[in-house]
Amino acid sequence: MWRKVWSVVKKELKDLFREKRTIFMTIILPAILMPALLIGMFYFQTSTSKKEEVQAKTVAIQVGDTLAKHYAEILKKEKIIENYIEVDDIGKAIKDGKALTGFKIEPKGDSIIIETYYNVEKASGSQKIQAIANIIKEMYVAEYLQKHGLPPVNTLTQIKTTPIGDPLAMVKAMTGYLLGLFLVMFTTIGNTYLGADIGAGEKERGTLLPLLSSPADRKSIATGKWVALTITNLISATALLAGEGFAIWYVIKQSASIAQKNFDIGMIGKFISPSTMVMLFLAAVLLALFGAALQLIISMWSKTLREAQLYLSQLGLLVFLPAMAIIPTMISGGKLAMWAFYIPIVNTMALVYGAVMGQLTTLNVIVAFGANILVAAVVIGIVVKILDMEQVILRT
Amino acid sequence: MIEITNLKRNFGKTEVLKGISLKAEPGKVTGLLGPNGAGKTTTIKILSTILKPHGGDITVNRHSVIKEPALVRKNLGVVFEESGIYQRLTGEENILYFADLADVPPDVAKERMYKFFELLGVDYAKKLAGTYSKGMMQKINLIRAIIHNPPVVVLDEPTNGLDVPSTRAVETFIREMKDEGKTILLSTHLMAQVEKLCDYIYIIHKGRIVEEGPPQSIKEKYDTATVEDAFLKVVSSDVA
Repeated sequence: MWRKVWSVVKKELKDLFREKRTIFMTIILPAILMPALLIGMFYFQTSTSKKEEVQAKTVAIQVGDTLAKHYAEILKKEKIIENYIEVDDIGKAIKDGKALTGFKIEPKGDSIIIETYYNVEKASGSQKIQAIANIIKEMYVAEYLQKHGLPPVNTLTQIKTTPIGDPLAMVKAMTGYLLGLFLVMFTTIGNTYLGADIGAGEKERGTLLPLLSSPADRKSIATGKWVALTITNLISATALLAGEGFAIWYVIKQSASIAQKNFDIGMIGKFISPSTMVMLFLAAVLLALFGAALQLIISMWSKTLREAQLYLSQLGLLVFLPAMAIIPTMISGGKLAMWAFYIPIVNTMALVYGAVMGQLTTLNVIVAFGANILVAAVVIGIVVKILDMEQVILRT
Repeated sequence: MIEITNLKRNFGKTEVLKGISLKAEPGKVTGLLGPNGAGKTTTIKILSTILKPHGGDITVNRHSVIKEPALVRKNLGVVFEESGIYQRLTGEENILYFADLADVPPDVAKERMYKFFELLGVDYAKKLAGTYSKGMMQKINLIRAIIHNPPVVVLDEPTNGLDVPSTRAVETFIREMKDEGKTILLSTHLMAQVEKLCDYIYIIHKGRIVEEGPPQSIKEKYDTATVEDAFLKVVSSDVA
């Protein structure tokens, strides 16, 4: 049987990869597009934050506000802000992008009222002006205490901070979540064309009847097609992981250069270890096996190539439904429950996330593999039955 | 040898085959004639184990399509009307793929394939099949169906849409297979071809065998000059 399976696999791969669309969808798109998106997002974020940084370093104060000018001078001297501008209308200056924030100071008896302005459309404006206001508050209190012959506030109270946990945890959680999502996308939706071609395409082109009347048994034909689709899915997944790997390397290297640090390869190792990469590939194998079985059954059931493509693209959306249940946990960096490893597709995302977060147990891996292989075997059994069902093979 | 016994088949409530029986013997070309919708293609699909019969049976070299479909396919080579050639493979790759599926050793398959290329004048098989004309494809289809050297060959409209030289090459090939002692069942609309090739014919109409015999006997029985005229008489008398 396996000799015939191998014949079917060789033929299917040759047939599929002679189609230019296959090479584009299987290799080029996952390898280039997703990393391009990631690097693009990095540059967008970097340029946006640079622009915001320049704006943040300039603070607007009201013309004639002597107290504000006094503190703005100190802030500038202490290099907390780069510059300040005196304007008639602080709100207008912020709207025009001349400054990200601004403040007014109004004396009231012994105390002062600090009125702050920031652009709500920029993410960091609120935090920055709050920090400036706190510094002014501390300076005013220090001056007040000194004026009244009292000791400085920092000798009365001191704050010590001890960070707990992995500082990269949130970044890892997002990476694990996004990688899992991309992997599922490219091994289910990405290969829609191939999945449709391998079954419904045979019907439409009239090649299924000669194949089924050949001496090859149905089980060899179904298994061969399944293995061929699994291989194309794996090629896509490998291209995606390689592309993503390159993108992560590039982003970390650029980040190091921006932070004026020397890049060394160990920086990536701390983020994604070699064992994590092995686990990511195993997760890809897992998904490829299951995804191929699912694509094959839908493709065989469909009357035409177009119908198969339609069903398979809808499937791409459907597979994300069960995954929705674990997305909130992943985004918040939490630990996934065991049930997530039992459900195909969800378990791939769970494995990728768990591998990146360093949360995986041997039992998680065994359960995920066992579940996917079991479901794939059942689906292949159904495909073999389908190839014997004349109402299906003659549906044209 | 093909033996069809009381074969019945329905599609929904429509009875397409109402109990047909026929026999095709080795070393002979047996014709299966009939107007469109008579049940010829359904019979061939049951014979090639694509469809299952609802009554009766077919045996191919004594193997039943119901009980031993795998053995039937081993003994059978089927040329469907639609060539069903993989367009992104070359002609050679199409043929060798089917040889592989039939467990024919690669060297044996190649030797047979080149012999058939010579007989049918195929000199284009290294090009992708997507570039072939209908006639070129049909020759590859024919070789692909018999690359495992089956003792029984079923041909469904093998020269449909072919030009004269291609038709002649295929007809010569059919004669050579007959001379080798193969059992050949030929389904065709071309009455001239029937006269040239067939040793025995069955006329099927509305799911029943309505006439059978050697072409000459049928012409004599209906007192006609050609099989075509006899066929028309048989079919119209059955309608009446």
